[in-house]
Formats: sequence, structure tokens, C-alpha cells
Amino acid sequence: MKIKGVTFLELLIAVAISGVIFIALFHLSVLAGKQINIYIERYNVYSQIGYALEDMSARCPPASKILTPFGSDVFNRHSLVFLGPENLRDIKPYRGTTKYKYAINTDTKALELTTNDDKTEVLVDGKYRPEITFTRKANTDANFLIVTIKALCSKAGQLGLPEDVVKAEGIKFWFIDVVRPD
Amino acid sequence: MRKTKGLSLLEILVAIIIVSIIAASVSAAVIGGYYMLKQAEHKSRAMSIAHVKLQEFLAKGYSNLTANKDYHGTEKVYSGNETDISPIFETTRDNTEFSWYVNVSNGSTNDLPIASTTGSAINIPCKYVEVFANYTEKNIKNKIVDSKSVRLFNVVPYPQIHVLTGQGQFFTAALKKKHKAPKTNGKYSSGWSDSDYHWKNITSPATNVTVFRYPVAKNFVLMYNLAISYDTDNTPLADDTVFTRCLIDGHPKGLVTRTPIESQIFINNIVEVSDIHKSNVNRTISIEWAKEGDTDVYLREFDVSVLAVENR
Repeated sequence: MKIKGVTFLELLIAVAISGVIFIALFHLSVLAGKQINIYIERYNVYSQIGYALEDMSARCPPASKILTPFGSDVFNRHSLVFLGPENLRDIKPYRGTTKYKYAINTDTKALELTTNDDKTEVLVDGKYRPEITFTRKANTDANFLIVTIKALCSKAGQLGLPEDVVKAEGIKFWFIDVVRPD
Repeated sequence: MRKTKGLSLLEILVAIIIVSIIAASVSAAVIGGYYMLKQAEHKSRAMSIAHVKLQEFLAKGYSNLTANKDYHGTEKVYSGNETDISPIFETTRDNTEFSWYVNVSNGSTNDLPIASTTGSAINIPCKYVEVFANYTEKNIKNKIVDSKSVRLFNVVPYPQIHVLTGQGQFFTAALKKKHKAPKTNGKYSSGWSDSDYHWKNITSPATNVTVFRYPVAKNFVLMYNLAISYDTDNTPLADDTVFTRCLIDGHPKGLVTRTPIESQIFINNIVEVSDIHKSNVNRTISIEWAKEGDTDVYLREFDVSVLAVENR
């Protein structure tokens, strides 16, 4: 009887090669999984930052008074407190009395919008460690400032991608100057 | 007798090659995904830069957007990099360099694509603001593989309402001497010609505040106030008066005021002027005055305010 099969050596070689390939495939699938997670996390971070900036670019322009103190015409602030209209579809110049505050909550680390000191809306989750800066540059118009929001996408570091996600928006106030609070 | 057949080495190798090809394509997809993520990141950053710069330039308004010193100029380019955005932007820079530039140019609503579909009723001058954010994509070896650009465009139309103000103060003795009212040709009579008043311009020392140049036709409501004083050693007669009038490009507009000197040392007038035609050269508003009698009359202060509304 003649039985034809693989030799032991051939089997060993085949097992070794396929082992390497399967290990590589396993790592690739893990990597692909991480990538999907990173995509999801970054999408969430971008969405939340985008939502926060959109909220600011709608709420800030009709402000009637800025309550955040600042001493010079070039500054960086990490919060903005101002008076504005209660209803953004019913704007009366200079007459908004609703108090708004954009700031990081020191307990939850979230970027929040607080209205009249009691109602709070989370704009960027605390788990993303958001940072916000209101910047006024020299030689720009007195009613203009730049808002920059940075958030941490911690999983991105696993793939060698930058962990910081940053977006900026320019805001022009319609009725008041940011360098003159009164 | 049963014949048992196993796999040959060739078959195993073929299987290994097929599996390798699959593994290679999966790894290519993973690496490609990594670069896509980076590219999306860069594009988002470029969009942020372009958007901030666009908003910054739109905030300047029509008058402060300088296309060129000469109104007929075509284009002015402003440029910079990420450091012009905010400190956070600077601290989160990677090895990709971003730069921006802004073109400001003169245009008109009739040149915009919408004009051809809706039909423009009036040709409104505008400033075109075009922002570019440029950056370069690099490969894994840090070599530049692609140059990319994000372009945003917006229009700042000429505003419908303009306010023009100017004033002058002449409190010192030297200035007081210079701003003395000229004496008319005797007492006023209804048959007077223009030369009988001996008009003198009060606004000429401060021409910069009474010069205008509007690229579309306007209607004016022009208001001016004069505060005067007189020589108290030689008080005016009760019927001595001060005359004032307003001129545009040397042509009288509106009424001539006639105000008693002694009882009314504050003079005001409102003049409405229709259809101030568009102009690309400087035009002037001037206020002139004259007085009756021998008493010296001095100008202490004046202010001129113009509400200019687009003539449609």
C-alpha cells in the first residue's frame, strides 16, 4: 500500500508560516478594531466641539454686555460670561438680560453652558478633557474674538495619531465691543 | 486497498500565498485608514484656519477692508500662518505646516452669479473676501507628497446707511482770533446777493472730518451745531444776527439760518439733500457763516453729523 502525504518537515514549515500569518492577521484585526474605535471617538469629539462652536456663534453675536473682566485689548480667557437675548429668534439690540456662561466645570471637567446660574447644558463631555480659550488679537476689530476648543482623544495615541483635536471659530459681536465691557 | 492522498507542498504554498495576499490587503487598508484619518485631521484644521480668517475679515466691515489705497485698486493680499489663530493652535501643531492668505478685491453685486438669475435691481459695490488655507501632506518618510488648499469666499456689500461726523473746538486765544465771523455788507435786506454776506468757511481747518466719497448715490440728512461767543466789551445790538449755511462741493444746500447773537449763542440747522451722486473722488461739506454789526463774534465749537442713506 502506497500512502502519499506530507512529511513531518513539510508540516512543520506549513504550521510555522501559517502561524506567522495568523498572528499578523490577528494583530491587524486588533489594529482595525482600534482604528474603528478611534474613528468613533474622534467623530464624537468633533461633533461635540462643532456643536459647542455653533452654539457660541449663534448666542454670542447678539450679546448686550460682556461681564467677563479683562484688562487689555489683547487677552486669552478660559471663560466668557455675557448678557444676551433669551430667545435667539427675538433679538432686541442692547436689551438682552439673560446671563450666559461658557466655561469648564472644575468638577466634571466638561465644557458647559450655564444660563442664569441654574440651567446647565454640557457641550463637550468631561471625559474628553476639553479646554476653551477666548482670544483677542491686536489689530483685529474691537468686536471680534476667536474661540478655540481643544479636546483629548486619548485612544488616538495608540495609533501614533495626535491626541489633541482642535477647532476654532471667529465670532463677531453685533452690538458691543469685546474690549469694552460697558 | 484504500488509497489515501494528503496535501502536497505546492498546495500548501498556494494556500499560504492566498492568505498572505489577504493579509497584505488588510494591512494596506489599515495603513490607508491611518492616513485618511490624518488627512481628515489636516483638512479640518485648514477649515478652522480659513473660517477664523474669513470671520475676522468680514468683521472689519466694508470701509476697513482695504483693497488698495486707491479706490480703483484691484486686490490686496494679507497672509500669515497658524500662530495668527490662537495659543492652542500653536501648541497642537504637528509637522504639517499651514499657511493662509486673504485676497480682498473690489467687486459689485452685478458680477456675482446670483445677479444673472435674479436680476440685480441696483449695482451695489462690494468687497470680495477670498481666504485660502494651504498645507502639505507628507508620507511616512516625511516627504511632501501633495499640496492642498481650502478656499472660502464671501462678500461684504456696501452698507445702506453711513454716518459721518466731525467737530472742531477753538478755545485758545490764537484759535479764537482765527475763527472770527466776517462782517456782512450792512444790515440784511431781502434783495441781498451772495456777495453781500461775505461768507467765510468755518470747517476748512478740519477738512478731514467733512470729506466724503461714496461709491453709490446717497440721500443726506445733514445736521450741524455751532457754539459762538462775542466780545462782551462791545455787546451786539438786539437785532444783530449770525447767518449760517451749508454747502456741498461749494454749492449751497437748504436754508440759511439767521440767529440773534445776543440771545442765542447756540445755532443749529438740519439740511436734507437728495440724490448725492456717486463719486470716486473726495467731496466736501462746508459750513459758512457771517454776522451783522460791529461786535466781534467768535466760533467756540462746531459739530457736523451726516446720516447718509442709499438713494434707491
